[in-house]
Amino acid sequence: MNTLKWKQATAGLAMASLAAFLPGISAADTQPIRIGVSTYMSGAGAVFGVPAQQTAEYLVEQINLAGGIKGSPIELTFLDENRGVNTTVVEVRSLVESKKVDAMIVGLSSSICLAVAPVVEDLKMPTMLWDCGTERLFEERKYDYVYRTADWTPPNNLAVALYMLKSMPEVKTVAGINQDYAFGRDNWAAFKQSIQTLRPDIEIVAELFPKLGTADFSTEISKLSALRPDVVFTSLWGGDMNTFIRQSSSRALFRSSTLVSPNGESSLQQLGKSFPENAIIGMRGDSWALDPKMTEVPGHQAFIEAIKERTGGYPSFPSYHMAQAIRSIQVTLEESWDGSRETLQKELLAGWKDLSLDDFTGELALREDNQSVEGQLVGVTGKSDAHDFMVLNNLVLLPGDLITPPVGVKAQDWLKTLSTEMLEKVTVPTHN
Amino acid sequence: MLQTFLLATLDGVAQASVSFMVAVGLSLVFGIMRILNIAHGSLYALGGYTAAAAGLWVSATWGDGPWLYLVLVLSALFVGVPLGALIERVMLRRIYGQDHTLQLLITFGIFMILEDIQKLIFGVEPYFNDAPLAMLGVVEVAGIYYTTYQLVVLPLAALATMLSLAWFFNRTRKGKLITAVIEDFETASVMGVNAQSVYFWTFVLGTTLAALGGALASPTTSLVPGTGAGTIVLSFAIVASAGLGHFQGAAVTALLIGLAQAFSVHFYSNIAAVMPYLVMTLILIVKPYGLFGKPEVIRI
Repeated sequence: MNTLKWKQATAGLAMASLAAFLPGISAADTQPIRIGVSTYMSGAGAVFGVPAQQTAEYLVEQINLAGGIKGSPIELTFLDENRGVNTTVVEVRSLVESKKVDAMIVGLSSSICLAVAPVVEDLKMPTMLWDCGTERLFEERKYDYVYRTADWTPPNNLAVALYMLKSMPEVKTVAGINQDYAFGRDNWAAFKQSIQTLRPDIEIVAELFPKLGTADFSTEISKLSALRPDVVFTSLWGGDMNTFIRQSSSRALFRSSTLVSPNGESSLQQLGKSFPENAIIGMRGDSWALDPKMTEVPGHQAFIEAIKERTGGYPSFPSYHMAQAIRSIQVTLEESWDGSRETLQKELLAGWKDLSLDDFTGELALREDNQSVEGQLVGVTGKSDAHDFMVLNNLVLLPGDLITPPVGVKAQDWLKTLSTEMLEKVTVPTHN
Repeated sequence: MLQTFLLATLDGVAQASVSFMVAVGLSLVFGIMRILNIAHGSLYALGGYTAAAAGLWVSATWGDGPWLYLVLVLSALFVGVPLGALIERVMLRRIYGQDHTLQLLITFGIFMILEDIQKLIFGVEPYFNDAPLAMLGVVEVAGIYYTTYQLVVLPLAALATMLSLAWFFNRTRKGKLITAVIEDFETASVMGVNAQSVYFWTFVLGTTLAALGGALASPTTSLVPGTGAGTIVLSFAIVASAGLGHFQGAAVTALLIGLAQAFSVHFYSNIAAVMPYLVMTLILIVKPYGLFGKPEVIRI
């Protein structure tokens, strides 16, 4: 557990001092809004978790500098998900039961979300799931206190599948390489089901599941090179993705196969020109730092500059996802909260019920099963004179209501019922 | 089918080369000092990070060239020697002969400290420098491209390491003294062998080999937080399969595990991730002391 930020404490003290001189605002009203945040602060997941943590710190700093929400500053308490599922559950329970938090933002990892969600539901703690994508969460149980601003796995993969099928109608063979845990297997299941329903003639020639944290993909690359599939699909991330791409590029795998990845954008900056050209890449959401359409969105450039300064790179999906979760709390409380401690959690839950965001984090709406409906931005990699890494061209925003499974229907069942008419609704530039 | 066999064999050998480089240091330290060094993986990671960072700096300053391979070796020495010396002098010297649980806890503590130091220095973003790999280009085998570095340089480096260690232990005075301590600690001490010195140099050699493994592997992989933990688990499987303390045996089991893993990826990929542990379990069921281990005789 790690309570941080002297800046927040200073802002809090300043607010409290100010409140003492302002009529009508009691000391109790300026108590901080305390939010517990779980993310990966160490281990392999820290490549996403730490930028997300820095994003949360930045946004909260901005909110507090502007006077907090209804006079109350926000105070964050971070938990490290790398300590494991059981420890995280114990730490969340401890935070909630000792009344040290008013709301929680939980879950880079799907396994953490699956374990923590029932606990916070039982404890009646308003909780926003900020990044985990597993569809099982809301298929297995109904929640009143748990919501998810993060986009989720089936829409991510259906989006890249539609893009691929439209831009590469000639594709005949596909191989998958995904990490051997829930995220990798869920992504592959959703992508595979999507293409098998929409194009049953496509042959799956390999399904590889190396373990998370694999340092050497040589054998897998040899196998893929020998099979020469038209498409290599992967949801690898972080160091695994970087290693796989660099080793594959060195061995010319992508001369004969096209790379497709629903979450590959996060590796573009790190891999520079090693990333293959003409790869089909998803953003895990509708926000991309270099999207020309977002240039004029208020606050987006300031957000980019701040995150660049703190993390050394353009914001990627972990930063946008964390920003969406923070904004979900900020927007809700600013709109409907009266500033009283007693009504804080009630107003938060009521506001989340019909929440929609349309700002520098992108557009999303929470629907009746507490999950987000969000468009998915997909593009094709190409060189750029302005950047020393690959950028995305031929961007297409696949609308959220087209690619999101309906409420109450299991995602895998829904993917089996997709109609080829869906392909007609998508316009994608032809792949080079 | 023949092509698949050939590819699986080449992949297995390439994979075993790196695994052996790391496992041999762990095996050496346990064989001589009877300490299972959990922090070994951190030395691997720090060796890799340092080699990548130094390589990037040298490339930016003097450009790419053969000196980048020298940077890999020097980085391993830069990390392995001082850190090994520091850990042995400050921490391990106090726990020789103590309960194994205490030793495990101490080395685990060192592992945690080194992980945080690594994060402090190198951050959490993936780190890599593949210039040494790219410079040697690729070779084509059975229609498939392999990098020369992984197919030729790494196996040769592993072979050279094994031969050098064999020469050191069999032909040099220091090596023979270490062998005497392994065979019979008490008798060697009575005969005047300075066991403290032997322990010190053994540990430094072990940590340097771990750092060398990380440095040589760094052009092929991305270094991220957690690299050390992943490495130590595989190294334990190799060392336990060989019989703790048998560094020549570690070469054989590294090869066995590498080949088993490569063949499983090519023929039945569902079990590839568990293959090292499956091989280890099978070996230990048949030979509980490892392939080359012998029951320890305690004379009363």
